[in-house]
Amino acid sequence: MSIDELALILVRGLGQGAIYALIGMSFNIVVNSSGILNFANGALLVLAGVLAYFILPATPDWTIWILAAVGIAACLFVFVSLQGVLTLFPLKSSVEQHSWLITTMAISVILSAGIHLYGGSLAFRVPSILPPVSVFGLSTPSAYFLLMALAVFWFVVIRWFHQKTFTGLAMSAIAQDLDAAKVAGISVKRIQLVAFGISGLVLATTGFVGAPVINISADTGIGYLLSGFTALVIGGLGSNLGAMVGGALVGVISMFAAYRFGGIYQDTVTMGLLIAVLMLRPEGIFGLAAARKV
Amino acid sequence: MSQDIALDTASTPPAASQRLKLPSSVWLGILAIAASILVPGALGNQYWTYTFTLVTLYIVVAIMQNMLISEAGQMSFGQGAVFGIAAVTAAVMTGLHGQPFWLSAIGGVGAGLVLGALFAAPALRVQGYYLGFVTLSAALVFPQLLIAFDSITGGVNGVPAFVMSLATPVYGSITPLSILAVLFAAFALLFHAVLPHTVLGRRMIIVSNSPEAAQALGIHPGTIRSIAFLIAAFGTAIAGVLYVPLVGFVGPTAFRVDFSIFFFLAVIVGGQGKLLGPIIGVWLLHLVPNVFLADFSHYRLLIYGVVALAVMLAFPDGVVGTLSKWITSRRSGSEKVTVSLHDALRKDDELAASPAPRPEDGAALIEVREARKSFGNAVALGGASLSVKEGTIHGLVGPNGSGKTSMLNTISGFMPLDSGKVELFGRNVTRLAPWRRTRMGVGRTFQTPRIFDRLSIWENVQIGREGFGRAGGENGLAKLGSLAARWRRQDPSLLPHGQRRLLEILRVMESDARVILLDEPAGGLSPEERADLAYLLVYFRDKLGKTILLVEHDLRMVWNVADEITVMETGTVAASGMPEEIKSNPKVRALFTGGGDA
Amino acid sequence: MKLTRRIFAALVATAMGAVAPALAQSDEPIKLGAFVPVTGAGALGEASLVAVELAVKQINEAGGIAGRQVQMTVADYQTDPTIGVGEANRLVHQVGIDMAVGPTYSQVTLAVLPLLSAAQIPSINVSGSSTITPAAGPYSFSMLPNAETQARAMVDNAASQFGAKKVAIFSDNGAQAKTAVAEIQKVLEEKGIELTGIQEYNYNSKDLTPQLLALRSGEPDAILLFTSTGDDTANVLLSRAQLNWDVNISGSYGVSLATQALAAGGPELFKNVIALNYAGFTYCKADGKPQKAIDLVEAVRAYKPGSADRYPMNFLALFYDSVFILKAAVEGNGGDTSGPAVAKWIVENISSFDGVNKGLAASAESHFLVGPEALSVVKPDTIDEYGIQERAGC
Repeated sequence: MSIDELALILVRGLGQGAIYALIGMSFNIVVNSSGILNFANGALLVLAGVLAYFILPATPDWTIWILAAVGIAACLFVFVSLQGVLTLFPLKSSVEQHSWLITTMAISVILSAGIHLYGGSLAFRVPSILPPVSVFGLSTPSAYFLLMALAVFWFVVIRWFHQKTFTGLAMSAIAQDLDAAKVAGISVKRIQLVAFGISGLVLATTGFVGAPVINISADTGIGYLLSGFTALVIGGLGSNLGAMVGGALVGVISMFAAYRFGGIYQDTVTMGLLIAVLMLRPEGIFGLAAARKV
Repeated sequence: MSQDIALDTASTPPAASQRLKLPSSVWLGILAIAASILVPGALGNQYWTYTFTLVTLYIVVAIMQNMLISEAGQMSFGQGAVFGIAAVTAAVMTGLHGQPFWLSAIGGVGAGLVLGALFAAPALRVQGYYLGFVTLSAALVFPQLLIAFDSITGGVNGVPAFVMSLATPVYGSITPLSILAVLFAAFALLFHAVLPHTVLGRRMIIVSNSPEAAQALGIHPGTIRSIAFLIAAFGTAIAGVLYVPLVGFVGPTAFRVDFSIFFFLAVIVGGQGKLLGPIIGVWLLHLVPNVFLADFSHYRLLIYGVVALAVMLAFPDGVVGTLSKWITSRRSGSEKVTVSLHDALRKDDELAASPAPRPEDGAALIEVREARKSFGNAVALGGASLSVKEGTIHGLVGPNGSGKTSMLNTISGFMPLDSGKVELFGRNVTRLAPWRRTRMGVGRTFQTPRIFDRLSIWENVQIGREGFGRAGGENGLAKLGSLAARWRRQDPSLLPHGQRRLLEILRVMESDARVILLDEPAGGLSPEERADLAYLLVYFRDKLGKTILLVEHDLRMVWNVADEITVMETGTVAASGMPEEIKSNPKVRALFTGGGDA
Repeated sequence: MKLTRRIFAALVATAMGAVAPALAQSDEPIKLGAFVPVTGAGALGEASLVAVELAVKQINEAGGIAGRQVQMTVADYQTDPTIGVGEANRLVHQVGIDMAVGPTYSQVTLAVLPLLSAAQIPSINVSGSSTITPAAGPYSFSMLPNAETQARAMVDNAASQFGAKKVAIFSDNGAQAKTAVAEIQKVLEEKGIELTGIQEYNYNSKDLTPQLLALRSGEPDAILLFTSTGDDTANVLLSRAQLNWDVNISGSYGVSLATQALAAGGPELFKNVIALNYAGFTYCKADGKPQKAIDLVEAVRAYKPGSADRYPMNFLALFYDSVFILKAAVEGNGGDTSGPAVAKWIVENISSFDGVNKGLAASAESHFLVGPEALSVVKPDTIDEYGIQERAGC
């Protein structure tokens, strides 16, 4: 493998990995506060890309770009919060009841079907705000670098949020002990809805910033969902550091697999990695081992 | 099953015979399935006969999935791959190699069982959604592998396979195959109805609810999980084999990952753990999009999504689950449920009259030496030693966090030691798995009682005998048998916390464990119940020769019943000896005066 | 038997809220089944559905087939043979179709053909697997070139246009592509051309650089590229440009769908790229542009103004022509819609068919209507607003 090939696989792998890491973090926020895995995350990511397609002009314009980013983020914050209401409404316990599995998947199906009704299986192409960057003579879409920066940004912001804000602290409390949090007078439902909303913000910015390199069409959401979730399980469900590391691993390894073994075996190799990690460390790389059971 | 019979003869009056009464929903389900295939079949409607025969095969897979989720507690998203590998194997054998169908069917089921066994392997290591994801991976990769190995599987263009003998109508459009499907589904449904009332079914429920409790009952969770996966694979593979003559063609895109997820969702939508759940779930999820919405191809997915969402909002426990909850809640005045030791042992037992001779210096049945265990910086055990003599009640006391429960866990095997040694019955068991120690004759209870709400109160006691593999027989509380008839119908979820604790104690007493470890058995009990408990402990020591290690905060009770007492402090033993000797120990005095409950 | 079945079918249809047509036999409409994967198959399914809808609409407006109106029923088989067989059962036994077009997926076609054959229903599929023989479907014909035909053309083009001695194969992971790749490998072996690598991608994947990088390391003289949509063609060519690699590409008919790539990266993306296209969508300047193709594209645009631009028109034309072939056959038989009659007419008279695609042929041995001469080599960037391209060998 020559140096330019290595560079290409690393840079693009990390860029793709940033998308998976961001999806992983959006899973985490919700799962830590309510035990629910939002299976609409992939479709929501694509939805943000579709919105970007409609808003962004063909020629780069920073003002419009920033306004659009804020607008789409606001839209998805509201939309995903509402989805949270629908998901939490019939639920008494996310452990004993699995209705959330269906409700989140149903939202995903509805979003995909809606996009399909509008655009068929059209691939939505979104122009890049920055020109491509040359890495070892190979032209690399700048969106990959923006995505990496975005992943770091959200990692830091969510960490700060959990440690410094009241809502964030309450969220951490719920994650550690739901019953104790209830006793302490935390309004659990409200916090859970905020968590849904924040996961919407993460997905909106990811879909928007990554739009030039994300495959935006009616049926591509499920692929991102699975890759993001795989990355998260490898890194450790519930851990944002795990999501970052898992995302990078899955991104680079699937790029490498496509290069070395062929595109057919991309999934097989990623799944092999997942199974290997789970067998050696069932809680994932950065997952917390279960506390004493007896 | 032999244990059930042994139990009947040993302790149950003939009046309360244990004949299993199947819920009427089983017969309703069988009737619905039979009607769905045979009515259009008799009328000669090929389309509906075909559709419902296919749907019935899916129902069987969903029933197996339901069993996996509800009884065995295993998340598998890969059942479609088991179905697929059975179908592909059978189709390749008949369609490409001209083998007779019966032989191909055996081959298909064999292939399904192999994949089922492969799914069971990760289940020994990971659980919950993690296991779901491992099996999902297999389902995701399965069709790709079918295409990659096209020289064996027929590749992307699939394999045509016809079995005329099964597909030729015998009346109207009823084929031998559709009759087979009805019988097979009826069998699967009956199996699922009977399973929870068998030893295997109860063990599955125990393992899925509390692997620790299972180990404490001498059950190896991995074995039970593997059996569950193999049973599920068996049923699923038969359905997969029957798919071949029905469809007449097997191609890789039929077994994509959504096919596997479909069965899981069907169980959730229908109602997890409900007998009729899979039928309703498969009907809804297959017929709505593929039959009723067939003419709305553009809006099919959208409507499907909205319907699924609406169903789950209206029926959060699944259609059958929520409906049956609603019906139960409308039935008024449920019976008040209590478990009382008082009933279990009337004091007319001649205990006080003739105390059994007990060995003053019996052999040490439990011997822990220099046990050390730490979690990072936190020291659970810092070189603690303990010796419990045969036929004694040994009290283990100390403040919270002093290592009492850690000591119990070390003895029963739940906490492997960093260093030190554990001997049971004179044998070094330091590296032995908990369930093996149980089988040597060690029973225990937990601080949070492991009571299984899916089982009746009686079954919750009964599993104590079954787990060990031998019936309690005359060793048990003979009086308990008279309560069986009442307890068999009662639901333990209505019991208060303290009573759940008693139930667990009765369970461990019913097993023929010679050594019994009790973790705070008196917590949550009333003074009268505590007195009964103390009486029971003495009864077991004196009448049945059991050895009891008792962790308890109620020091008064410990002092009254214990032959020896060990005091723990910060992971080490502070004092040990006869109650009279211990009393003078200053550390113990501090314990007494330190806090009422300490 | 047939009567009771019809009565029952009507009963069920009424029970399900559908309207059961109770017309006399003579002016009962001709029922046409359309096997199209509306969901799950990318742009191809949608385009095929529009093609059949448009053809039926035009035929009905012009008085129908042999004086009978055509009533179309869609069978969305979701690219799944199980669903395909279920839908075939519905169409044959429930709806009672007289003839059918589709499917496109070879494995679904193979799965439904026995049902159609048993009911003597004539059909035109759009599948390319060589295993679809007249024995498998005596009343079924294919409008897709046999996978081998297309494979041979792609290899021949690479050899003749680029003098390629070493080639690599790059394709999507669809069923058509996989069938084609298997055939390409056979042809390469037969011709003694070295194969330096095979790579595959998922539909709608944007970043294909790792696959291309892997192919590049084998240093091929040309890549045999099989794509199915214009979007995927654009993705491959954009990725190639990012690698600054101007390797020769000999493409399938999908590579001639150049609109999206031209919009995303301009004509320089097509440097060293040739592709196949259906002859009906190609021309030499001397002859002028093919009017039938222009008419079809304009009709599609009038019919679906919002989405016409994203349909692969050359593929759409295959389904469109299929309906007209059935019409010609039924009318040529004096209104007989039975399978044997329609099949006989097609074998004997198909060369006279004048559709978007011309020069069709069939025999007792092969029911693939589109032969090698119906495919032409084109420079994709010469595409005009109708998807029509200049032939390379003018």
